[in-house]
Amino acid sequence: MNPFNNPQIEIQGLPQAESLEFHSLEPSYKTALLIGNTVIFGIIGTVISMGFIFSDEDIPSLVLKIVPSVFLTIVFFSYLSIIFGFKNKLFAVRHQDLNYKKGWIWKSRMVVPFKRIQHSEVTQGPIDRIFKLAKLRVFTAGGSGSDLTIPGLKLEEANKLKTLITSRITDKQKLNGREEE
Amino acid sequence: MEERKSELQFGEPQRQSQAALILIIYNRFKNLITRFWYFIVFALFTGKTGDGGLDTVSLSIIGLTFIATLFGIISYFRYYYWIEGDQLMIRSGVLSKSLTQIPFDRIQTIDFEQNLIHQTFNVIGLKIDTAGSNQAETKMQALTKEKAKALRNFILSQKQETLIAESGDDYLTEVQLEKAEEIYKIDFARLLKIGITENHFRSGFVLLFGAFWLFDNIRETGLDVDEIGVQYYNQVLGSIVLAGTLLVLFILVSMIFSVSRVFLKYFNLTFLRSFNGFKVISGLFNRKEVAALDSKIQLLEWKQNLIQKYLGFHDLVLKQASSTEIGSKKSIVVPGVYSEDIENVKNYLFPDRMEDSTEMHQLNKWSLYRPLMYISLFAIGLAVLFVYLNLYYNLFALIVFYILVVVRLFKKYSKAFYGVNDRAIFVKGGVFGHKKWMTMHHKVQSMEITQSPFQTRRKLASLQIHTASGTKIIPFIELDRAEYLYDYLTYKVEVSTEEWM
Repeated sequence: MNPFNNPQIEIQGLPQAESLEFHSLEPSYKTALLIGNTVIFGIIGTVISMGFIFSDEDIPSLVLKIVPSVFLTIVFFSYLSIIFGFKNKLFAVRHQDLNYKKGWIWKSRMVVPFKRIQHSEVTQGPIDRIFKLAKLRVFTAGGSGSDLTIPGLKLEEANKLKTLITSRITDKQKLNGREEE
Repeated sequence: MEERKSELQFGEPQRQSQAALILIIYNRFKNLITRFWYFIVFALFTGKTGDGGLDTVSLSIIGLTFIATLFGIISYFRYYYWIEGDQLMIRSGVLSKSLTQIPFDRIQTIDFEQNLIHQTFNVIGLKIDTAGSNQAETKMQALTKEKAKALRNFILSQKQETLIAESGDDYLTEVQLEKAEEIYKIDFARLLKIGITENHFRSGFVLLFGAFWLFDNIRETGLDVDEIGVQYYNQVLGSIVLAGTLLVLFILVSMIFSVSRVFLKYFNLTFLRSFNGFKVISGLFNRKEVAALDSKIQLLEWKQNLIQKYLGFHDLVLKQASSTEIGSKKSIVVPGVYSEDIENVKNYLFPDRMEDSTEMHQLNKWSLYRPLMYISLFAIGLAVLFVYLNLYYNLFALIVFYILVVVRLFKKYSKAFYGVNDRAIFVKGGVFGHKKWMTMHHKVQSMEITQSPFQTRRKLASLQIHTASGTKIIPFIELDRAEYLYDYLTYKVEVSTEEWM
């Protein structure tokens, strides 16, 4: 608790996030993503084709060519990004923080220390429920930029993580001599 | 002793001051007018009510106003607040009742607000900001001055007790502020300088946009603005005088606009330092008081544009954590601050920042080359097209524009630096002026590294430092350095014991 406690750290001794052993998400999450993608684009595709079929006016042939090809390209890339992106979505839990990596073309990695987490929640979408999957979301104070969501966890695993985070938060508060909640 | 009295004072559910009624009605009308003012302008300009459509519109506006006012009045009588344990309770709602519980330790700041109506009735409006929870800020329309002060003091002192075990350290109470020292008080000359060095183009364009919009609406009414315009235009066709006059007029009007805006906003501004926080009081008609506790301040930003650089002063922003998105709302903006004052603020807030011994690094050269490359390719393409089409005037304009953009890029690159020492993080930027940003390690919330395909190929990355009041991106630095800073700052946050919010 001494604010002037400022020991020197060896650069080599720093815990390195890169050398962490990351876990991949549940394989069934990939299936869930593919199903979700199919449903969403299926609906959009149906709406667009309905528009074409039931339109009173003549649609220029250029539009008839461009719209479907753009649409199909987007659909194609969305499937590609799910398939190739999935194995790049990785998470790791350390004693002090939560780590998440993602990205197939644009890569990103993020770390949120437990002591900066305000609260966390486990959510399940309709497709998640079929596969018994869940998302873990952690919230920090202030803007949403520093919030983190880890999808594709087993429900019980997500709940365990949430419990762990909650206990870490309260540990921290006891340590700091505060009592909240 | 005083606290007990305060507790008793707020123990029972009670209504706001009756002045709140007037404020509620005033706000309803203000909302309606800001939403429907173009109908009023429309009616004024045409002197007629339009094609029958407006009749229904005005009728429904009157109806809406009536209902809104009625609801406002009922809502006043249904609104109760009191203190229960260490929570502020608010019961409200006309049709559906709601009970809001705000635990004291969730409250970040309590700000006072006084517009003309508040001042006339000697009441104060309260803005209570909570962070970390989902509920946004809570507003109380009007409490009598004594009650507002008592409520704030009570909540903040209770909160202080739960936060820090040792006594004696009170939060910014009024008494404390009387002892507070003045960092600076604005004078007429400085107000004028701030007004003159404002970004006139911004205010000018706001005005211009408004004018165009009005013009458009007038034309729709059938008033033949075009005809008048064309006649006038023909008379002075080709006259550069017109263009010159318009430009001077534009600048003059914009300047008057921004100077008066600055006077309204910053009149009699006082920047105060208490031993544990800052306070700014300002405004001509609308006196505003904003306070920030040291530990709540997440980061400092200070910037100056080209003219401000020559006059030697900055705009200083103290950013606080808030539940709502960053915005300017929770920032304390202090305009016209000289370098010494900024040094003072930094010394108060971050005495051990060790700024002078910090090694500053430039961004990777690709942060310059990449946009340069793209812009050049684009410009060459356009230039070829213009030559092909014999559009030499456009080519000339393109070259001028290209040179400006390139100069801007070089300037921007030459000013972009970042540095991290044992305690603090510094980021510098700006194009023609300066823009500086700093925070301490323990204010960091989380770290992120992002890589675009271009960056991945060249072993580069962008580092994002997330704080409770916004994200700072350090773009285009070497990947190993980004990784090192990522690990280092994460480590520093995890071992820190300082209070950060």
